[in-house]
Amino acid sequence: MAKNQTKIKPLQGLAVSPGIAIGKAYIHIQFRPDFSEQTIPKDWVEEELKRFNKATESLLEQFQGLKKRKDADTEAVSILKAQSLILKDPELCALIENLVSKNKYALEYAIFQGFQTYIDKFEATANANLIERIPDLIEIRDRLALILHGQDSQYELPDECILVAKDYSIHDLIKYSSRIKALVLEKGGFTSHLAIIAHSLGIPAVFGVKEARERIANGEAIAVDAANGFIWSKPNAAILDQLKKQDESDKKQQIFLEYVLNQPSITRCGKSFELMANTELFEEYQGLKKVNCNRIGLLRTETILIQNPENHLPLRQFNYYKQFLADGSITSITIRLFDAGGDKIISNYTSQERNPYLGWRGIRFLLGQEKLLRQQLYAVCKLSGIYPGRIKIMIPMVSQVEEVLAFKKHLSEVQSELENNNVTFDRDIPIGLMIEVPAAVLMSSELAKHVDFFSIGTNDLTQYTMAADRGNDLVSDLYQQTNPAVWKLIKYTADSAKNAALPISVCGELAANPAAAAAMLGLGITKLSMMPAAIPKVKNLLLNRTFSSMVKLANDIIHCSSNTDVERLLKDFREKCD
Amino acid sequence: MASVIVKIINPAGLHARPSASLVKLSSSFKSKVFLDQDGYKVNAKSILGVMTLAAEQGSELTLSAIGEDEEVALQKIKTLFDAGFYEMEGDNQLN
Repeated sequence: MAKNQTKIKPLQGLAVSPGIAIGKAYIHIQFRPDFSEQTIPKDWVEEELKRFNKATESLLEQFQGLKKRKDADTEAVSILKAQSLILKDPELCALIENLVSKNKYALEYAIFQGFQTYIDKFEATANANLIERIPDLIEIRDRLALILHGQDSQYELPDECILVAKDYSIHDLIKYSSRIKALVLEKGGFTSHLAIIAHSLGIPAVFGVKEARERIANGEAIAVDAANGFIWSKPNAAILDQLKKQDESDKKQQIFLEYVLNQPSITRCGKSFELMANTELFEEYQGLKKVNCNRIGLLRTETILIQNPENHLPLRQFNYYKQFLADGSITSITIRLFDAGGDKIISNYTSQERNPYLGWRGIRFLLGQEKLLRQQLYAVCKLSGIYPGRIKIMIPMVSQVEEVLAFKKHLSEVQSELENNNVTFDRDIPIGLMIEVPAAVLMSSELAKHVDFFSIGTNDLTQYTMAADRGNDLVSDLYQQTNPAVWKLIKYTADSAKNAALPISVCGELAANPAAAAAMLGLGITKLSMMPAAIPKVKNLLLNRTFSSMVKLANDIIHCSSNTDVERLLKDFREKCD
Repeated sequence: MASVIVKIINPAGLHARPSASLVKLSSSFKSKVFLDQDGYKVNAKSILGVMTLAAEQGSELTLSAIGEDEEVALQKIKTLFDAGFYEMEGDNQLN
């Protein structure tokens, strides 16, 4: 018997909000409004209009009440605001009232027809933004009918239930969020408003589960593994055990991460460091918040050119960069200018080259595409006027001082243009260099005289130091990020920066290796930028080691004679406590 | 009755948020306010009407108002269009 049970296939749907829930299923049957065609005698008109008025007012009150609930987050509030505006729409109200008073439609039928007029109009535009709003219209329509029916949506949900339904209302999800352990729906996709709200309320949710209401019985024990989109009905002991273990380990991991992320960023002996995030797309922004990171050490911007080669005008760019700063949580952002070329081919601009990595890329490309460079500088400088002190500019692929000087000439010309247009900008906007070419390392003392900071890009620095293309299988084993040669260049750059009292950071993948990050601290580089997901593990190691052990590690690495030796040192450092 | 041509300059066009600001502003005037795009005319106080315009960046619309405060209504609403609904602070320099 037990053997057979483990073979039972779970129901499957879209995993829209992760988490595990075990509990009793509650099949929610939605009230189906009666919108059938009905007319009324003339002397009922006034009464119907009064009912309409009352229902509208009562629904607006409900919206107000939901907006004030403490578990309604900003996402929910903005959706509720938009719905209130629709409910108050004078044209829609006039249309419905007219259908009642002129056509003598029963109020419910008039409401249905009134909303249908706009649903049809929205559909006729074939505009995706409008079509996405249709569920909002349907929800308001059905809500009005519910109030008219006298139900007022005051149904009761059992505590701790796993709600199974065809579809569910955003309003009810907010209202009953404390009772719903998980949500299983037959309808819905990843991007629906409901999915967003479930996620932001931390309710595990699986959508798009076909025939869920037929295949799950009311009151039956079910288990939801919303991370994978599985629903087990009558789960056996083995499944429950496995899910409980998974849940526990997820929770432990979560508690541990929260603990680490909430600690101040100081080593065991009290030396402070700073971890920042490398990022590219605004979609990654939530990931930054999850790891308590409020500084972006590297914002890659090429995506603007790749996604929209025709439309990268200052205005569009300005808005693109601005979204990262708009909610005020990011205190510092380093915008790296377009780093086109190499493996990032942009059809409109870059040409076929025999050896693109040694070719027209980074600042070389930008100085040849003056208009592109100046448009980007215009957008970034203008933004700096709104967020002074928060924005830094970083120049990619610099190999000689002349490039920096040519760049600065463009910058000052763009700044005078802004001045002529009466646009404010941050006059002290820091300018920094990506140190990723060995020539720049060797000239770092000279380059330091012309800029405000350095950031070492270890990926390209490794490639150019080892003269090995990591994408080429024949030589990719030579692409060794931890090779002592690369470390010597990192140390050389760090020493130049120290002598010039210049801030320095690292923004390559190597910083995401916890022990390597410790060695960088040992070399005096206390600002490290990495992919957000790596921050917890890097931070954990740095919190638990002393600065002197990091200095020793760095010193040992510099004196290694092979990559294998460095790898062993890093592994030992990570495993052994000091 | 007074009217003026307005142009949509914000990149996202007249989507949900700008429509809401437009409707809120229009509703604050006593005058009736309309938007006309190539003969398709909607009440500027109606969110659903404004949304069905689905007006994109670069579209030109005729804004008209009729009533005691029509002049000030036009002026204020035009300012909102000219400011790109305060969704962006950029401009067309260097294009």
